[in-house]
Amino acid sequence: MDIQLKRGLLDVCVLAAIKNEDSYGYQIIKDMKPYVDISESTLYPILRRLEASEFLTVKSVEHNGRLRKYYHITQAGLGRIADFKEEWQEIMSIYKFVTKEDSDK
Amino acid sequence: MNKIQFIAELKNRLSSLPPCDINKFIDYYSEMIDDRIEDGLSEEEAVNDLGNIENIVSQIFSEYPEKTEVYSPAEKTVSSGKKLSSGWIVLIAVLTSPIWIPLISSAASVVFSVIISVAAIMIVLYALDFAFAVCGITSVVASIPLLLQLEVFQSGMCFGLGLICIGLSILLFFGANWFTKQTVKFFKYIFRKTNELFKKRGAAA
Repeated sequence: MDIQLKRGLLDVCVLAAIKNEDSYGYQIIKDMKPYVDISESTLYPILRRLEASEFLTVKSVEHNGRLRKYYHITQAGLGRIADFKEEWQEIMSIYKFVTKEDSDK
Repeated sequence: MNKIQFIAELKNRLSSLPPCDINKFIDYYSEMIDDRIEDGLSEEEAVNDLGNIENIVSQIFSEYPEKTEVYSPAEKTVSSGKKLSSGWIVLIAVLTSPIWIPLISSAASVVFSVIISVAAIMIVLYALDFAFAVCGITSVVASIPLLLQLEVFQSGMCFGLGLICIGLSILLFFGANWFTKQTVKFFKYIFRKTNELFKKRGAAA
């Protein structure tokens, strides 16, 4: 898959993984696994990018005597998911157009 | 490779990066290892599960520095719609102050008086309860000397009325507690709702 496209999709996936409740790195990976396999090293830049874009906030919470980072979605992050749903309609109509050419032949 | 070896290796290979960034990567990967161990994996398995350290390091370098590329749709989501400049907002706020100051102050006084009234009801309930309790206990105690004076009828009445008062006070105590709890719940609910409303508005603006 095109790297830029996949990156954008993964960003929305990560936002979706924390949409309902705050989550931490390993949990996000586990939640996404049935749908898309993502490694730690892929997740890291996504989380940093989403944080820098203010789509999520990070909070360190003590857990079993160590710190664990929890990610919390912001209003802007929720807006990004909503935008994605809208954009997807456009992509679907492009897809229809592209596949129509195929079936016409 | 165990966790300490992995972290040392990672630190070593990232040594060209600024120290604060190295620490961020180390925190991130050690959290991942700890979470896997907590999930039931052994330390070795947890480290192996992260994949080849070669790949991890090359991915870190290929994406570094991640912060330079900030999402542009963020702007779009946040500032959709026309935005008034803060100068205009202040001007409008000042010009319309004869309207909103009395409105806000009357709203505040209504809220305040509601709170005071509810608090008054609570105090009255507890005061009534206390009065019943005192009345009941006094009557019961007073029935004893009456009995000693052989005023059996009066003593009995006194004792009975006292018990009724004590009973009422116990019932009223539970009633008052229930009322207090419900009121606190209600105000908490209202407070949360208004808070959410303001938060939503703040985010939409």
